[in-house]
Amino acid sequence: MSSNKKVNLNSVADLRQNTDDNLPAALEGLGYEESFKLVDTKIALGLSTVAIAGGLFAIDKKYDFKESYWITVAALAVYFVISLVMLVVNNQNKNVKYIGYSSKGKKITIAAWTTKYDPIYHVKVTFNDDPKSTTTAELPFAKFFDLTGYFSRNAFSKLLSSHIEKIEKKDI
Amino acid sequence: MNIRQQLTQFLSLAYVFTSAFVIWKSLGIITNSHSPIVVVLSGSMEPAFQRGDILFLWNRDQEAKVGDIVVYEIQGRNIPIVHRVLREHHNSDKQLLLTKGDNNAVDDLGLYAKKQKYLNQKTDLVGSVKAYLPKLGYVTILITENVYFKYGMLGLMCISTLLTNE
Repeated sequence: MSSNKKVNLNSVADLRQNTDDNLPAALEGLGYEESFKLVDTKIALGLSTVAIAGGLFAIDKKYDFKESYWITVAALAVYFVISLVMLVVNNQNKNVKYIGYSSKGKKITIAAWTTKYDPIYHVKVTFNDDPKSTTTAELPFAKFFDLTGYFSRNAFSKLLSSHIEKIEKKDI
Repeated sequence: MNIRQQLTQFLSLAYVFTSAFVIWKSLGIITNSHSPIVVVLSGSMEPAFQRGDILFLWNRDQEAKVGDIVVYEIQGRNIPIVHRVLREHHNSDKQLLLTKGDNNAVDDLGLYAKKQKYLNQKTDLVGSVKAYLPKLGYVTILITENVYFKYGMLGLMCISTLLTNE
């Protein structure tokens, strides 16, 4: 989904958010197909913690403290285990914004982040989960946002593809 | 629309409520008290506690001592009362307490349920006071007692969530 929204050029967070939103479209243009496995896992884990908390709330309303003591202990234990798993998953996939596969089945993982005051989009690209293939690039927002604050997909795709192709060549 | 994006957004909003609730329940389990943090609502313990003080409770003590400040609830009335232990009687499996507010002229016999002469340490206590923060709880008193303040706060929260992007 590419959003054609005007972005506040003075907000690094807004710029990053908007670029993140445009990553899938840009990579689709480069011939990659997005894989939602990680996102779906995260959402499923998140929903189950919310469901547990909701269930706890219902129990809390219906039964008094002593009646529901042990079921509350059990529910909290499950909640914290799931939260721990989420923490580990999030930590291992820090800043990961996109996972996709090329038509040949090559996996690409893209992590992206910004620092607080520099208008630079830091991109980390990994192929096939191989840490040796990891490269980082620093793409200044000024190169793919126009003066009024609109995202230019062409410029961004070009920057990104030139970076990815560079690695692919090095790989061979 | 992108359903995954919407779900992620919904989750980040839901976490705000669920995490607060889960922390509250965890505290309750750790302290063995259905209400581990209470706000003083009356002046009956002045000068020790004023209206609006926040009290932190612990309910895993085997016995209460004379002089301890305990929070108890009378069956059928869901108002926690913070008073000091005046007298206690115990044997190996049971402890009975009589309480009194420092600022009250008489002990709590009149506050207890009909025909109830003592509090049972095991069943009637919400916890004994282990720590307190002065005055900070006044916000909750304002929210429960002042309608304008309540809706004003709600309005402010709504506006702030609308205006922040992340």
